[in-house]
Amino acid sequence: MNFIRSSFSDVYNVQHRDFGKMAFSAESRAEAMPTSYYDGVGFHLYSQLSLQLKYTALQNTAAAAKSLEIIQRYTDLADACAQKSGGRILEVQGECLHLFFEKELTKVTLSEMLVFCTELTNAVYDQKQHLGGDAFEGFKIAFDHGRALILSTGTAADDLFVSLGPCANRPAKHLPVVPAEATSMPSEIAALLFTVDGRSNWYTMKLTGHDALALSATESWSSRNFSATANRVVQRVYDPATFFVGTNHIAKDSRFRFTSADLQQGFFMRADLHDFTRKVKDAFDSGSEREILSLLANFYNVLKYGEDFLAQTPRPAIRLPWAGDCANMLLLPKTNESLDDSQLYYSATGPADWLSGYNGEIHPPFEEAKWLVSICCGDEKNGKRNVLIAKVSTSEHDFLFATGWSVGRSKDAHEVENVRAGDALTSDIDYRVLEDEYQEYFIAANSVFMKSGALAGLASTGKSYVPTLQAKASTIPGIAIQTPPSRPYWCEKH
Amino acid sequence: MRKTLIEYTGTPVTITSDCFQPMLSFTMALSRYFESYGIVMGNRLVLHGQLLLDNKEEMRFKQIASVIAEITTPAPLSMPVVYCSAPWLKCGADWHISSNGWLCWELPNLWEDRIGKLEAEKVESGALTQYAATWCMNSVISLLCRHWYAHRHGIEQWPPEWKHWGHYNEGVLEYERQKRKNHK
Repeated sequence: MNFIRSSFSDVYNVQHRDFGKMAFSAESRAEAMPTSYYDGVGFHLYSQLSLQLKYTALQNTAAAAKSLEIIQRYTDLADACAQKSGGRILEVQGECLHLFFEKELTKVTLSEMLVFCTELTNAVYDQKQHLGGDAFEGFKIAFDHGRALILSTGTAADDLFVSLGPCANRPAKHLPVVPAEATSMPSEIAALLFTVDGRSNWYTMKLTGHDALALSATESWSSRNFSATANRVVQRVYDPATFFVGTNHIAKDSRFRFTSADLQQGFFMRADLHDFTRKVKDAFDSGSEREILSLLANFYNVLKYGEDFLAQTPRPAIRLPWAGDCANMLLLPKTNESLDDSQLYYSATGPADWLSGYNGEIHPPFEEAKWLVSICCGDEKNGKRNVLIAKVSTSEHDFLFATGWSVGRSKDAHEVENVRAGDALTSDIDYRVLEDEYQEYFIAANSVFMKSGALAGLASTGKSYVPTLQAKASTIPGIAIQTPPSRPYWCEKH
Repeated sequence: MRKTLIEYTGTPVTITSDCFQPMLSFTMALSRYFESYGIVMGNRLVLHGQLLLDNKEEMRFKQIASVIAEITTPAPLSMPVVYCSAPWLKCGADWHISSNGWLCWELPNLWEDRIGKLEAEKVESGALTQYAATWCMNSVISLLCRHWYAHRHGIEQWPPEWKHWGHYNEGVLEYERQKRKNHK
């Protein structure tokens, strides 16, 4: 695979160039088409809209349609605000957005970032009636600055941008602990403008009310101006009737094209490649272009591993964009089983297949590659096992995303303490319905999640040892001879 | 096409009460294995319901399968005909299930010989009913458990570990040989 270093705008606008093919498609791989990547510095910002369960654990199509409308409005708002400040949306992960601002770190650019955060936060709070109303639970931001690699894996909504680097990873990890109405940044960055507490790694500031950042006259004017833009943006009318399409076209092709939104029932699986951010940092520290290219080659194999897994799985699957070095996918029941059937085993065998590479049939992306895998489905009380798969559009790109109870739980699983690479996690709800032979592999990770460190071995056990599953002879009181042991036959009587 | 309950309606009932009583006793004995069930009465008794694939001993699964059992006269000598509509069943001779979901759970010659012998010995009818129901349901659960196991583990060939009678006449001959050997 060839890689070409490009400008950010080149990588971001790959869709608009005359490629005619997806950068990561089978054709491009076969023809060794070069993949462009960006290696540069900037601000990586993650924003999180918090909504009540009714719009995140989707009970029905109406809730899903409303959820999609909220996410589309929220994305529109962030897109409008970011474009004004020279930023671009890289990822839409439901209620969480990842934005990038190609800027050096200076007092001026940090101020610009804080103005952006203030404007967006205030716009979101001002427009909360359009962003969930009573179900709106808050909004927050975390950002970092530094060097990262950004590459586009293709031009379809299920491809888009992958960012590799500590500065693209750290704010995403930190975001869950940031309070609502606030933004958080590493203390060493905040020190450019503020007096920071040296004992804390992160500096958090409120963005609304009296404690908010004091804006200059120009910034205040700009902010008021954006407020008017925000009012216009949220007035956009969406037609809910166009949101949902039939699901019967989902077959073996995980890359079917979405024309609209879809409410599916299945298993959301998230596989996080262990320690890859450190490898990126090491490559940066080495100062060698060769190291970067070698890293990209490894990452290309990582993406390929995901593609190979989807090609190998016998069940319909929906491929979602990677979140950094995290693969995301929705795996549906096989055509010859119900979701109830698959819930009896797939929360164990799904991660086992990923961790073992289908028992060695798929090559690991590189020698020491290890994964932490989570999988969740839910039940009637928890999101009704629904996952909304939808596409939101900005002025420049379409973004495919998934939201639902299982999506949130699979993500939360990666924050559980005392788990390590090679482990698999599932929710206690999904664990409870597993057949006993799979439950044996798990122990409690906390009150919500179960973990297993031995699932990789499960892939081979089903075929190497087959239990007899034969009912033994039974003794019935009053009859001297036992019932014969079970033994089926075949004739053409029927 | 898998068998469904709709096919059991509209036939005039001609069966006598003498024949009906053993059929009902046998049906009730079989029903004890079901999580929930219903019975359609007619010339055949049709027991339909949800069967948990758990015999509390060597086969312990949480899977529940929808099963239909037809009980005909003379019961229990007439071997129950059992269908299952689970989508994960594999059809074909090697998997002992036909395309309409009929389960070939035992060699009929063995069933008729064994139950006939016990009837001839005048064993108590309740014990005989229980004997027949235990044998039938253990065999049905075993066959369904094997299918459920194969589905989960991606097993496409009937494993050699799973004992079965030879297909068609081979199974009958095998049984006859076994019978002759036991008589010597």
